[in-house]
Amino acid sequence: MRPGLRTRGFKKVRKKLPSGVLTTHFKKENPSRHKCGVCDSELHGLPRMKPIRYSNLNKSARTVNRKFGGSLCSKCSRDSIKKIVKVIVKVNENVE
Amino acid sequence: MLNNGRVCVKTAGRESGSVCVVISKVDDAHVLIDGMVKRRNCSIRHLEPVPKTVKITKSSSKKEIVDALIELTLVSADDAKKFLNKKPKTPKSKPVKVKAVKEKKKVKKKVVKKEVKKEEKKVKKVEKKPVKKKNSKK
Repeated sequence: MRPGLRTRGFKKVRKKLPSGVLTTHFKKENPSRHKCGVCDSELHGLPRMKPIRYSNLNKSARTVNRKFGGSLCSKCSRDSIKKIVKVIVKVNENVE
Repeated sequence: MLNNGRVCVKTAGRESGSVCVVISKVDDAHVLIDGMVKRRNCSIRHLEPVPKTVKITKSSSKKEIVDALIELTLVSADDAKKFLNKKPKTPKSKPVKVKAVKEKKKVKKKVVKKEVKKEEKKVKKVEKKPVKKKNSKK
């Protein structure tokens, strides 16, 4: 890697070469994938970027166009909506 | 379960969480819905039925359906007002750029006199050469 890229922004990895010499390799790593808040499964449709670059993206690129999109997976969002509907129905019945 | 007039909540897609009403049955797996959503065919699997019904027909307008949902207190009046007054987005027309027309430079006419002078000089040079050669041989 050229000297200009040997910065602290990259991750240092100690490697042992076939000759037996220990060297440092500079490795670029993206942050981990976004995960569902309920089931910890990986979310689709969201880019992997560092927070500085991520904040510069458009709103549509940072979320999924759905209720709870971008924080819950499709399965968990569906379940949570069903739970909310049941609560609303119970409240309405008690009022009547 | 999903008969005409049944109130439902959408659980999938961009309209998830919004209240709608079943208008008619299309086939075993699909129904036509309207309300706080766009009028369209929808899969039964994407709907969560609510134990309430509304009296409507296929010809009833969107406003009539939304008013019926407000009476059931499933939709607030403010949300319904925003939804009905929502205008479809139209792309903005780009401003037309007008190119500034540059004035053409005037072309100067070439002067013919200079060419005449050059021809005269050439003639003079040619006359001098043979004189020198004769002297060098001797």
